[in-house]
Amino acid sequence: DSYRDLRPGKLSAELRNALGLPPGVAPPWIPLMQRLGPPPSYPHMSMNEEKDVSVASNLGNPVEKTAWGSLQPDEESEEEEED
Amino acid sequence: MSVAPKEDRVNELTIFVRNLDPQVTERILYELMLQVAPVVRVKIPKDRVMQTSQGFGFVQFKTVQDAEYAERLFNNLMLFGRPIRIKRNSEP
Repeated sequence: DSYRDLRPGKLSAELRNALGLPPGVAPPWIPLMQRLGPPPSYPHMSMNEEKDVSVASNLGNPVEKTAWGSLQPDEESEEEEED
Repeated sequence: MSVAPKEDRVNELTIFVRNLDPQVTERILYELMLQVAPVVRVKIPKDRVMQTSQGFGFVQFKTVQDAEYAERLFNNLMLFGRPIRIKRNSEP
């Protein structure tokens, strides 16, 4: 049929337009998907499927997330010292 | 005798999507739902005279779990600036 070109994890320009989603930006359902777990029919789906997505890949790895989080207080305290 | 259970089964596998912008085509709805599960069929009924969308559609999945997941993930998702409302067809 005419939908055969469509793939999970790869959004067409047409769908991105409907979502108001610029190229390279993660789909808005990714955070909820990470909470719910992968779709039942795609148990091995990576939740940062799209290779050009930076937001999703930042959320994907808990180790990275911790490392990033620990940098923030340092930056804030430096700003406070300057004030 | 076998007809009624079969219809129930199809209802369980189907979600009802409303508040669809007129620009939402069956192809767009199919591609969106495909992101979480294989889609059996999509229907956005057209007005018989005007051939325009009436703002709702149906999507049938292969399993009840797929239908439940799609409902939870995509309910209130914005398409063309409008939140789509999803209910599973079997719900009262």
